[in-house]
Amino acid sequence: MTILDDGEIIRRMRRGDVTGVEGLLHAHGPRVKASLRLRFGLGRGDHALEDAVHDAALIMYQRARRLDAKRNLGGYLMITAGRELARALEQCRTGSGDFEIVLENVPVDERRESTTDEFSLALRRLLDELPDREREILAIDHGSDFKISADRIAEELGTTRHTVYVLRHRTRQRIEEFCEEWGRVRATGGDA
Amino acid sequence: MNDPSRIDGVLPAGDGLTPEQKRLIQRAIEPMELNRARIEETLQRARQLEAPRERWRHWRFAAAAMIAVSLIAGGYWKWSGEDSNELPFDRAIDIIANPDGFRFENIRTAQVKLWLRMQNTLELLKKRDELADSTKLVVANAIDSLVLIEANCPRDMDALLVQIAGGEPLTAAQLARFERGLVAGVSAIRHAGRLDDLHAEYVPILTRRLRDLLSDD
Repeated sequence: MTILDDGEIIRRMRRGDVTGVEGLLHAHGPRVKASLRLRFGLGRGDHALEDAVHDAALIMYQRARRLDAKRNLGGYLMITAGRELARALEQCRTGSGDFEIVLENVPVDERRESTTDEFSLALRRLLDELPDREREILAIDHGSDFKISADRIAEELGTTRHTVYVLRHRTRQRIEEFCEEWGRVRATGGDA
Repeated sequence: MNDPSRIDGVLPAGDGLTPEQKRLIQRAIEPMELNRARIEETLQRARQLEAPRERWRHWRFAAAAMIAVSLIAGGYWKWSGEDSNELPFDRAIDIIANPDGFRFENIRTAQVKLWLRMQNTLELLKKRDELADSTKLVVANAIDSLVLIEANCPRDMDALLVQIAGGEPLTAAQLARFERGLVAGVSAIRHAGRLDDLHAEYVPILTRRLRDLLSDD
């Protein structure tokens, strides 16, 4: 299917055309799903991830008229799916849900099935091991294609814009340090 | 502290990540394809969600159609003259003259037109010396017909009529009294449908004379 732009997706959803939902899932679903997995530290085959993305798409379809067409649909999907997933996980933890999610700590290497790039694998390991808040902020940023505001993230995570700025900066520093270290290791022929 | 991306040397500005870092992160967090069968299932659910919305859409169309039909019918009623305020005067008088045709709207129409006629009559009366004989006759008929209706006519109305007919000038007080008499006449028209039999006899006569009077326009 041809990837639709956000404007076309929202137009179709507003007129009740389900191809808008399909376009939304194709355009933003894979990235949001991966970001959710990073944010919540879930296993690759977890059905809750997929369910959250699809439920969020349906919620957006029902609210299509109220969505701001000028804003990032990926951001909407990421935030909505994040809420759905958080609710599902909470139900699972309290035992009130009708389903069971396995919250096992799958080793990072086992989660990475398709990545062949060593640098990306190492970076992914670093991202997986970020402190919780930093990882959450980075995941929301990534799921929104880096188009979401610090205010919106702060609102979602129940913190302040200042905190978001600071944590983003720390992540940046960690990545810079990682890149420097990786370059040094590569230059000396050591293992990553 | 010399980092240009920091605000006031304390807060990092924007998202804090460089474009290159964003690219690296996008490469490291590999997109996870959605299950095709699951997408089909979601689309099916979306179609089911659509059904009630479609139904409401039909209701909206029905409501809009009803409003449009009402407006068209109202416009037709208005422009076709069915609106009693727009009834030709003669027709309104005919309806008043018929006891079965009494309707407040028609009476009101007649009253409004009669009031205008009375105003014109008074204006003419004030400068009757300048009027041609034929016009004087019209004015006299108008006064006569208006006063005939009057069930509660001021007692000296007849005297005023004699005075007018004799070409004698009216004082301002007399003119005001005469005007009150005419207003009372108009009021009588308004209540024509509720007059007793004796007074009701006058209504057909009155209306015929009014019609004759108006046909002089």
